[in-house]
Amino acid sequence: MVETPEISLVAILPELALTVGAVVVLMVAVSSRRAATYLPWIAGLTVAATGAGLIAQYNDVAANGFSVSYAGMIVLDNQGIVIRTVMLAAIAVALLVGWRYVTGLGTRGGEALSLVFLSAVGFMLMASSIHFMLLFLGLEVGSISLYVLAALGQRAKRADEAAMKYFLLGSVASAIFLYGVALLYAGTGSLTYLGVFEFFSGDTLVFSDGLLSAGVALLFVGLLFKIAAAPFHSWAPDVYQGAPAGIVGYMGAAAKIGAIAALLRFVQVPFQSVIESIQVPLAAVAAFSVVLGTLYAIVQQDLRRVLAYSGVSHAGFLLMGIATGGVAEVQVLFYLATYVLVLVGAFGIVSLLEGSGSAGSPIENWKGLGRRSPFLAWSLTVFMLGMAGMPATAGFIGKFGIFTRAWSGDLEWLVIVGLLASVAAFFFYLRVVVAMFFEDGDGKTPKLGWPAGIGIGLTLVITVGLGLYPTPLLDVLTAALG
Amino acid sequence: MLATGRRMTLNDYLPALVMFLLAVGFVAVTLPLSRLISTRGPATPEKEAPYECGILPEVEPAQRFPVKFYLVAILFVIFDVEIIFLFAWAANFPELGWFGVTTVGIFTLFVLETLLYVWRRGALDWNVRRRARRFAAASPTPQALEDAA
Repeated sequence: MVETPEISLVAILPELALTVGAVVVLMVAVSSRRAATYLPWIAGLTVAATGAGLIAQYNDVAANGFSVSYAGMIVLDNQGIVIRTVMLAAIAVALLVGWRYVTGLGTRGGEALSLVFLSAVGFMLMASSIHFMLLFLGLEVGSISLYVLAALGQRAKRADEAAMKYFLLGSVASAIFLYGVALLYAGTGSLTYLGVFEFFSGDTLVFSDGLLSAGVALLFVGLLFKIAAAPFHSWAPDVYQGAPAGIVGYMGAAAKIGAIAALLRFVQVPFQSVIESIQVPLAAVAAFSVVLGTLYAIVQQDLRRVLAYSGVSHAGFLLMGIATGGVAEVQVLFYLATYVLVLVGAFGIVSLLEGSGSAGSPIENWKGLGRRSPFLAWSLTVFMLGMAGMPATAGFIGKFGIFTRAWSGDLEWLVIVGLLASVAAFFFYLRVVVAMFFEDGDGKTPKLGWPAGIGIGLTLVITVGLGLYPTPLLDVLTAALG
Repeated sequence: MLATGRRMTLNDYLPALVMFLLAVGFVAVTLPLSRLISTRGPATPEKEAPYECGILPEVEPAQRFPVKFYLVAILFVIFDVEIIFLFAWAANFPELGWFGVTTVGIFTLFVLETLLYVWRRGALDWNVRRRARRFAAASPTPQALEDAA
């Protein structure tokens, strides 16, 4: 008998729940004529089961501490649980605000649902992986699901272009990442995070080996591409503009969650002892993303491109928190959680105005929305202020935390760049607000259904609630991660 | 073994380089050599034919293939890759025991689910027109999406 790896079902409970959900959705979709009526129930049950799995994991960690299973490939710890909870929240809100998209796909709605779950499985695996091969597997499962989601059920030129660009550039990024893994293995002889960590901390030679440096650089570039950090962001505006509005918010959010989770672990374990060597390039990418994202967002004429470029600058802010290294990642996770929820919420409103399968959203279409649909206009205003980092929104607390962290991590110049960009960012965030309330236009009047209403309401409550009273969540996070 | 901590250097890839040079060298030497030492006669109709001995093609091969072959090829790849995994398991069947049976069983279930799905969706239907109708019913136009919204 060969030795079998230790199996720990609790370590993969949320992923299991989502996988089962994805399989059941597909089977129901092809075996029942009334499949559409079952979809909400399956979606709800899957999300609930995933939540239950996360609670079981939390209890397990609280009782036994963190644990490693599957031959040193998967770790069960609080950081992974927090990231997966963020992912689950993103799914829940995305399905609520994008439910019209799922039903609008008709008999293929099940496919969309299944792909959403499968992409979440992939990115969740990235959060708990401590092995480069499993990380790559998670990245691919998540990314490929998103490529298909981007192309699903569309027959518009714009959408096809977006899907094709996303697929081609995304595949190249995955290949770059895999090449980095290969070079890293050639250089260190190990594929586990722990093995790479031991290699770097045991050997006094730091990055003198060209092969190894190239490998590490490619590894990071692959992930930076996925979070759309400049200069690896060129796909983001076209994809955000062309992919179906009902799901594009989730696509952006999910890829960011997965890649940020992996980058966090990178600076914590494998590259912890060489953080000085990778800090400067990471900080440079962060500064470049923040500045470029802000400048380009200012000149955009389409709200979805504005959101894409703002996503580039948000990737920069997240990298700012990662570049400092260290283990207490409360600020980064708080920022990530609040940003992805606001992103999903904002795209939910876009899909309500433009139609859930639409591409593009020129600023003209938003003129006069304040009169036609005050609730949506005010919600979008709050989301925009939240992204800009207005005090009394969660975005402010998130940015404040990131700046504090970077300042104490000896990255003062980066904080100053970030502060300047944040001020400039108010201009483009407020432009759509000005269009909605102070300019006249007679565009479409969106109809707000109850699932979208609940989703947007939830995001509103979280954005404002965490902005006014963030202490409980921060305390929980600090206790869990500290 | 690498895990013992020996650093791998570019020297370790020397065998691959030698192999590569050998492969290139073989082609670079044999092709010009055969050209040099071979005798060349005039072209005859037999020599110009696609097959020296065999049935001559009556018509040019079709330039465009129906797209249904593409779908079949994609599905073939999925199930072909499954076989690769099954081979590895079958070769080590006694050692892997019930652990292997369970793992491969779960894996096969997922692949079977795929088969069931593509079957029910009509992807295996060889009647292109019927399949197109089914697909059209299953995937809405942007207009239908607008109407649903």
